[in-house]
Order: sequence, then structure tokens, then C-alpha cells
Amino acid sequence: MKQLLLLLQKELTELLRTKKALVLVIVFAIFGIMNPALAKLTPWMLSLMGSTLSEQGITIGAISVNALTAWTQYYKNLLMEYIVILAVFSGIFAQEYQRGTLINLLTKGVSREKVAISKLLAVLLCGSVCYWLTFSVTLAYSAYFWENALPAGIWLGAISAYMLGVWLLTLELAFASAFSSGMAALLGTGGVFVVCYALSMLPALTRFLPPRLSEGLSLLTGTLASGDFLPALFLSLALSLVQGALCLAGIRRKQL
Amino acid sequence: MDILELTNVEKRFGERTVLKDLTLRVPEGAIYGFIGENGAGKTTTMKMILGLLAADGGEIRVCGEKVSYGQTRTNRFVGYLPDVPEFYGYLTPTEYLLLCGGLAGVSASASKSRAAELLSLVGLSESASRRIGGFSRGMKQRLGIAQALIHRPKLLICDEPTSALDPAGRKDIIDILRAIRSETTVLFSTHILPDIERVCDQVGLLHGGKLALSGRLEEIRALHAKSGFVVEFTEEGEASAFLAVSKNGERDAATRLIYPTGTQADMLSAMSLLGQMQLCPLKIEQREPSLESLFMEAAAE
Repeated sequence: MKQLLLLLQKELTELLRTKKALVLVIVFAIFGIMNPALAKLTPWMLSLMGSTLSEQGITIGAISVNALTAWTQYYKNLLMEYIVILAVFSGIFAQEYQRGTLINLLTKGVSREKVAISKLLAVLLCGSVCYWLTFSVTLAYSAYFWENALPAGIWLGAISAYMLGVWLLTLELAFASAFSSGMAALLGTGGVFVVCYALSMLPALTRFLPPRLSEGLSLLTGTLASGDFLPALFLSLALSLVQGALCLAGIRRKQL
Repeated sequence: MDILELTNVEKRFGERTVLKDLTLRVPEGAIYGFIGENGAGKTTTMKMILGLLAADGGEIRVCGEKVSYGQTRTNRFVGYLPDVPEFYGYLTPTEYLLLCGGLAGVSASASKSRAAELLSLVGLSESASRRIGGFSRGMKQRLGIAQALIHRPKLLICDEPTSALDPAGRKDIIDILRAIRSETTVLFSTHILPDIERVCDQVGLLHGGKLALSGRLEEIRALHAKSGFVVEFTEEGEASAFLAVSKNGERDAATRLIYPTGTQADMLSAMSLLGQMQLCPLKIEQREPSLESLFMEAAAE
């Protein structure tokens, strides 16, 4: 346990001192601010362009903006946020494998599994902070701008989107511990996501596969019910556990 | 007692056999020079001792305990300095040593005092609170020794610790190895023979997957000692004059004469002859095989 805590502390120190944590917090805070801000600014921007547009024969009617517009933006940005965080963590094993920094630690009697667990924990912790930061900033601004800030289904939607992130990050780490290149981890993750996305086009599978978790907006608009999300939610949780185990298996088999 | 015992160890990478039937013993308290050309399998051997690579045959024991691949318990006896030690550039040496100490099971307070002691041993006390990112190669090598010694291992394994360093850096490392010999046995691989002569008391030459030569340095020398002596002059004329009057001499170079069968008595009479002839040689010495020639010979067999 002491070894695990020391390794986790080392990972978190790395995130702080290499400024990765700072950059991620800033980027994710901006994502959070952008969601309501864009919604709020859209009518104003359109009215600025209004005269130009009307000269071209386009007339703009009354645009009603509400919290839902902000949440629409939130779910649109979701995948972009995950791509950012996946890119930041893609090299978390590769840089240690390539430079040989693990040799000193492993020859002190640390098990490889503990190294992998410390990285899983650090990445999930950082990912969680970033995700819930964006969510709470969006939530806070929406509450400030509009009174109808808490549409029904918002929490299940948020948890679903969060679970999608957990699935993606554990998937990436499973690839990362097995390969010596960060790009391979990123491509592997992207590949699996694309396959899942393609499979989720089949109506029979849609409810079960992780890509469903990004459709939280449908919960807010009432197009989908919570029952449409739960299978994907539980399957993603199960897959994340399997991927965590694969991550441990990957480092165990790695020739250093 | 032997700290390290390798018995009939084999290792293959695919079709290529790197080690076949390697048997090696390192007694407690020795500084063992492990020599071999590039690609001879020195690093492979060391990684197998550390359980980082699996052996294909044979047995490795450290302090009497068998080494197993993966997480081996024998690593608590061992400190390892890789050929190019790599660190986390965002940590300071003290933080790094505390991390290593904690991982090796040393208590926080003991790690702290040990870290300070080691940083002063390797001459990094002044850089103790600088980040490792800005360190030179030599500084990293010295920090590498410090991290390997943090848990007071019985055996220190150094993989070519001097190969990448300039002469001053090499001397620093050799001095550190000499300073720690009282508490730690050292296995030290290199292909720089002068370093071996400076610090090692036991040597082993790895060639063709096995030990081609091994033992105490002076014993190996004595075993392969050549008789005779050499006289070297500054001028060619002096050499010719001396060659003409002395017995059993051969010309080795323009100013250098060799007496391959010369005994000590012959050498003494040669010295008095030099005195009589009022010739002052550049040097007169007994022939001693150089480590280099010994190893070339062993490798050729």
C-alpha cells in the first residue's frame, strides 16, 4: 500500500510539475465556459450580422435561447474534450518504456502491477476532475443565465457521459501498457471507438454500446428514456474493469 | 561465501544464442570486473540477475536465494545502476532518492538521512534541491549510484558505469566504487580495461556465451606471465650499441630491445653493463602481460 501511495504521489507530482494538470484544467474550464457563453452570445452575434444577412434576403426571426442550448453545446463538445485528454495521456507508459525510467523502480522490488494501478488511478483522477469541472462550470453559468437550469435527466446524462470517458481512458491505458508508443495507444483507442460506433448503428446493439453514452442530450429533450442508457452504462462499467485488468496484464508481459 | 552464483545459465533471443552454459561466482566483498566486447551478453546477464529477463536454462542465486523472473524477492539484496540511468526530470535528487528508498521499504526517516549521506558520497549535495532535468550525464551517473545504494544492498550491479563518461567523470565513479567496497560487493561490467585494473580484484571475461577467463587479477596475470625484460632507449644508436654487446637480445622497435628469455640475473647484469657503457635507458622493465593482451588471447582461443 505504501508503495502504491508513493507511486501515485509520483504520478500526481508529474502532472503538476510538467504543467499537464494546469493546461488540462484551463482547457476544460474554457470548455465549460464556452457552452453557456456560446448559447448566450448566439442571438447577439446574429443580430450583429442581421443587417448584412437581410441585404442578402435572409431574415432572422426571434431566436429563443435557453439552458438546453447550452447543454446541446455541452454534448457537442464532449468528444473533443475526450480527444484532448486521451492525447495528453497517450504516452504515459510509452515514455517510461522508451526512456527506461521504470528499471530503477522495478529493481527496488516494486511490482509492475502497482506501477500500472498508480497510472490508472492518476489518469482517472485527473480525467474526473477535468470532466466534472466542465460540467459544473456549464451548470453554474446555466443557472446564472437561465432559471430553467436543471432540465430533467441531467444527472443521468452527466453520469453516462462520464462513464464514456472512463471507458475511453481505461481502453487507452490497456493499449498504452502493451505498446511502446503513445501513438499506437491513441490509434488503438480510436480504432475500437470507431468499430463500436459503427456497430451501434445496428438498432439491436445501440442500447448496449458505449457510444450511446454520448447522447445525453436526448435525455434532456425527452427523446430517449433512462432505460435506453442503463444497458450501455453497465456494459461500459464492466468493460472498463476488464480494460483495467488488461492494462495490468500488458505491463506484466512487457519486456523492459 | 558467494554473493552471486550463476550456474549453467543459458539465454536465447529467437534463433540467436547469447549465453550458453555461463557459470560465474562473485565472492562477498569483491569488486568483480565483468568484461566482454559489445554484444557479448553482459547487459543480458545483468538483467537476468535482476529478474528483468527470463533465463532459458540454468540457475541464478543471489545471497543463496533463487532468482525468479518478474518480481523477484532477491532484488532486496541488489542495487542496480543501468548503463544510462534515466530519472524523472521534474524531481530533485533528494525527492528521487526518497521515492526509491520508500519503494525499497526503507522508512521515511532512514531514507532521508541515507539520501543526504549518499548525495554527499557522490558529490551531489550542492545540487540536492535542483531538478534532475538539468543534470549532465556524469551527474546522472553519480545519482544512479546513489539510487542503487539507497537500501544498502549487499550486491551492487553496475552496467558499464564509466563507458559514456569523460576521464574526470570516470575517475569519480571509480573512486566512489572504491569508497563503498567495505559494505557492498560490486559486479561491474565494462569494456574499458584500464578501469578494471584500477579498481577490480576479480575479473571474468565473457566471450562466446561463456566465461573464457576468470579469477583474481594477479592470479590471471601470474598464470599468463611472460618471462624476460625490455630495455628502451631514447636514440637508435644507443640501442644498436647495447644490442651489439648484450646477449640474447632482439630488436622490437628502433629504440626498443627485448630479452625474451632473460632471467632476473640477466636483467641485473644488463643494468650493470648499462652503467659501464655510461648509457642511460629511457626505461628497463620486466615484461608483464597487459590485460588487453590477456583478453585478446583468451578471446582468440
